[in-house]
Amino acid sequence: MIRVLLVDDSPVMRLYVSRALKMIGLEITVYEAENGRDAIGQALRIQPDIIITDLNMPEMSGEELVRRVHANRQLRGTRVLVLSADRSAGRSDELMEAGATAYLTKPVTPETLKDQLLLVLEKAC
Amino acid sequence: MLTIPAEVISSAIGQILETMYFSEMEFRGSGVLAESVIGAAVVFHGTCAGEMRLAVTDRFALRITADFLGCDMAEITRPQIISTVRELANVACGAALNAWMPAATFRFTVPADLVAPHLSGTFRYVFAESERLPELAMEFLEKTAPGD
Repeated sequence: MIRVLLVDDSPVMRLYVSRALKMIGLEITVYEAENGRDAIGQALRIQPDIIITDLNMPEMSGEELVRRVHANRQLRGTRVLVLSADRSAGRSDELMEAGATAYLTKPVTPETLKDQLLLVLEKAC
Repeated sequence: MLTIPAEVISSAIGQILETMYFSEMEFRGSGVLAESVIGAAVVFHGTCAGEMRLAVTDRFALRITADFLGCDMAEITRPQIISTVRELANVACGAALNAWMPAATFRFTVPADLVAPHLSGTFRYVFAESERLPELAMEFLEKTAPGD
């Protein structure tokens, strides 16, 4: 069973990504968090294989979440896929340097999301 | 007002609507939305600073929410519609600015609901489905300092 922690302040985006996860055809348990702070607490408890996170969120951003996951001894091996509308030049490199495994920009089709998740899952498993 | 070329906005919006909401719209210049609308705004700063405002008609908001979630329109709730419009604003702002200035860097706020009087009046860019009145509108306002 693969544990995925989905972090986004948008309920509809969490639903959209959950649907894409179901298309993969693997046994996946999805946990949800509304922001980075909530995600850290959940991640320490459930030890997810993958975290999929937005960047712009209240309380704690996805960028801070990536840094904290990378800095935490218990979570350092967790793969983090960033899914964001931010296409700024160099943003992907910044996040990858901070510890993200992959960076995907919106808009994204369920198929593209599925393909990227499979790539990250290969790295995680 | 930030004047981004219409073809840049049109291309970015077209790609978003097609990819995430299975919809197509034509650019109709500047104009107003005649029906009841819902909207969201995103503030950005970086290479330049401003605010993007996006509004859609209630009818269009309901439809894209249903398409986005793969649900029947009768099952859609008001919070889901609000969340979908915020997400559309979030993605539209990032895509349009990147298409306009690919080498620029920006930081974005979390989308906030757009309220009266900003939901009415003339928008710089309006879009409509074929043979329909405009149902999506947006504009970019320049900001030079916090609170502008």
